[in-house]
Amino acid sequence: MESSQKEKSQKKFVSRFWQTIEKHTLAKIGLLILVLILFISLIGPNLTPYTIDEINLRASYQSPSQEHWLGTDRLGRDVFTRVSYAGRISLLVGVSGTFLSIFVGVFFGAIAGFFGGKIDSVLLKMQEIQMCFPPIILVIALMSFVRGGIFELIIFLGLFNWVGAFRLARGEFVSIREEEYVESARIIGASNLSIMFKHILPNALPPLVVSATLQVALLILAEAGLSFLGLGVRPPIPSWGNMLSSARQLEVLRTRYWLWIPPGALISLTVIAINFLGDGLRDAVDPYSGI
Amino acid sequence: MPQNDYNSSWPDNLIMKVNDLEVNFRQAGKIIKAVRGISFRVKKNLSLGIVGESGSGKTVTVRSLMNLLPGRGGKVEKGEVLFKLSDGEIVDILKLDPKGKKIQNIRGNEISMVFQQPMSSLNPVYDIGMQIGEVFKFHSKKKKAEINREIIELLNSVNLPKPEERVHDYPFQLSGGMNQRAMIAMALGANPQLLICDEPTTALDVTVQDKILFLLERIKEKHESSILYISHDLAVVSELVDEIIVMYLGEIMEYGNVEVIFDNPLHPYTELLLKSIPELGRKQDKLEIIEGEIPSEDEVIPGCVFESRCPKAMQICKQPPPSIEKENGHKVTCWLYSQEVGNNGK
Repeated sequence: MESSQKEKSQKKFVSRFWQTIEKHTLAKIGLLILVLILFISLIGPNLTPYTIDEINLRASYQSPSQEHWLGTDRLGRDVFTRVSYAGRISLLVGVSGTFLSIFVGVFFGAIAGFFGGKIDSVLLKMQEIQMCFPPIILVIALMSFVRGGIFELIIFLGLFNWVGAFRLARGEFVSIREEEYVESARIIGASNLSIMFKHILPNALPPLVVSATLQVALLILAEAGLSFLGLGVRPPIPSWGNMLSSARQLEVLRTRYWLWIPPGALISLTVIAINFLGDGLRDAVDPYSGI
Repeated sequence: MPQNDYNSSWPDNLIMKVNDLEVNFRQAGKIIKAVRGISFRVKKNLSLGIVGESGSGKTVTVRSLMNLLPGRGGKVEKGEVLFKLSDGEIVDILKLDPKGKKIQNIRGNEISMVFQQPMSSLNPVYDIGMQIGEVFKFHSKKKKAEINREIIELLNSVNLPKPEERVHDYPFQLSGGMNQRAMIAMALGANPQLLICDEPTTALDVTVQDKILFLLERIKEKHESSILYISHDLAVVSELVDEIIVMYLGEIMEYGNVEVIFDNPLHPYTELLLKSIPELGRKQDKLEIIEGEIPSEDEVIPGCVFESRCPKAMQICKQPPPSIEKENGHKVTCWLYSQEVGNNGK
């Protein structure tokens, strides 16, 4: 009986999600593209006989062919293998960076919004200070200082992008804490912790989910930009950003299109797809959107 | 045991004693007096009604009984709320830390509350079974299967049809009356000694209102708990409660047994209130009204708060009125019944 109860509520949630996605053409397209990109990056590297760092100088700069679907780069590495593997890296950075930033933002936002008063004003000041420093500049400075890799990149991107989630969560908590169901939870003896995370947070989630989706796109772009500058993911591990970076010569740009079109197109496609999906989610969450 | 000094003068039939409670709100530099020093007692297995117009301080009073005011900008200026826990210990609720373990253990477990708006008092993201189950989770160590059985039993006892199916429903799937029953079930979960009902039927239509009142009456008998019932509807209150407190502008005007107050109202305010109830079968062109308006709460009133609207106001009413006790504990706060006035006032 226990499990059937759980199944029932899960089914409800999933079916509601599908209903909104189905009606929203753009969101459907976005979801399709995302699933496709995820699929390619997960199984792509295993479809070819090559590895991401297998150097074959005799096969340098080959154009797309039967053996090399997307050609090879200067060192003779297979571009398809690398570009699909890079998808894993970019999505990993985008998604886990987002999780970290949402976690930090929601944690502080919940405290600020729920307790108010002095804690609130201190956290608001912290947030204002953070807003004075563009996160990307901070990450550039720190990454060149510690000369870190993917892990450091995720940490820095996550820690310096908490402001959006903080403001959203704080606003939601400030308004929801006055709701009567919060008071009735208090009346049956709920503790602050249980009220904050069990009663308020689920009601504050919808706008946070939307902002998280869009945040993933932003962080993928940030990762690409940083890797392009040589500060993000370091070769030989491929990322869409550093693949673009290594194709940054006039001659390559003019004649060896297979080196820069795939990673560039994948960045744009992923970001567009995520934005479409985020739009759909926003409409699903907003009862006045008329969809 | 510092609490023991309350014990000596504590009658057996009492569960709560409120002494000289005064609550102020601060707004834009002004001090708004919501409750102006009231005292009353709640007896075991009896229901007490608090009636008064909007803004008379009923809700603020009961919120402070559960120490729920701090979040809302109100401040208890003075007074004490003594409550006898089920293990016999007597605590001053106002002295407890409003976020502490002790008060959390009283809320829901010893004192519980039902709100005015059943729809917005239940969390929209959880089904009602889970929300009722929380009471058990906080206040008992029962196993999950046992809790589930008790939830259904509770819903059954508040006459919610098909409780086995309804436990999985979300508040938006239920009607107002059903939600209110779920709320009552939630409030009763831990079998509290005192159930506070803050206008539980105001948002419901008359037929549902009647059923809820009937339900509350049965609950009182079955659970042997006391009910503190707040309403602005005298007719509703008279059906349910044993004793009545009439409040006006944060002060108690009159207190006594329901029958006594309805048959023989002493305070001019109570008299006027009772006259303003339309009666079935009596031909009336116009309903009686009470002239004037409630003075604003931040006004300083040295004398009787009702003086500005009272048809029987006298010179002496500009001074604070005495509380006079008549037979059977019937109390009234009015100059009309004091010795000095009785002799030469009229």
